[in-house]
Amino acid sequence: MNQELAALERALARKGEIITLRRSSGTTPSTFFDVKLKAIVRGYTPQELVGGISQTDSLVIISPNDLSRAQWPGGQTPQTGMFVSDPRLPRKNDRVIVQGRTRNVESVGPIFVGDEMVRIEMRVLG
Amino acid sequence: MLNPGLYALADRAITTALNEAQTPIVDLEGVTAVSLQARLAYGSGGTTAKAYVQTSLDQGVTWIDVACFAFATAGAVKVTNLSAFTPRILTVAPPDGALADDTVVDGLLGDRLRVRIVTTGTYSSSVVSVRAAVR
Repeated sequence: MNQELAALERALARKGEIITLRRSSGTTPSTFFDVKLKAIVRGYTPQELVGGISQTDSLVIISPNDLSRAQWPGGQTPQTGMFVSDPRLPRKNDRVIVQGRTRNVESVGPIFVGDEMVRIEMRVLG
Repeated sequence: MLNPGLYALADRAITTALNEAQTPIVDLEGVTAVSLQARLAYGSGGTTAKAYVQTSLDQGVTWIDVACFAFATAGAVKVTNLSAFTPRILTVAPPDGALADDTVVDGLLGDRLRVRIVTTGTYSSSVVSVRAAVR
């Protein structure tokens, strides 16, 4: 396992809190599928409050391994084309339930070291 | 078995007629039983919507229908279960999207599962969902 990913796994095991990540399908009616996983949730520092990020936003850090193990979000429509995004990644308008509060995923930033995804950072608000 | 748990095999908003296999759930080696639930969350329109739950015994080259959930123009939930221990006395020509409505082929469970969704007519605001509790 990549060193950075192993360090994140250790940090999540030590300090992470359980969150629920939710993908909804359809509008009215809609269905959803959840996965529970460990995450590090924190606010942004004053230095990070730039480019539309506000004090009420939170940064959620999760491990790609947890999503892979759960095979979240499950069976998907096969994607084709040159610019196919990783189906494991959360996306805008997924929901994160943190300490009973449902928050909206605004942006997702996977971080790679070499070819390996070593962490997923999400900006959530609401 | 490896990786028992609850999986989403499909969550597909349906509109125009389609015949589409969803991406598979894999790494289920050693699975002995699967409980399945299919739901049509119905909005309006459409004619028929079928969800074929499929498995593969050759790492995804050939897909075999093991359950067919058939819906029409009303919301519904249907469930069934499959066991790997059910002996099959006769061989089966593996159907792919051709199993009779609301039937199962018990006793065949490979290391992966997927759903093929086949619809006719044009649905609106409708979702086909299939869950599998694998153990």
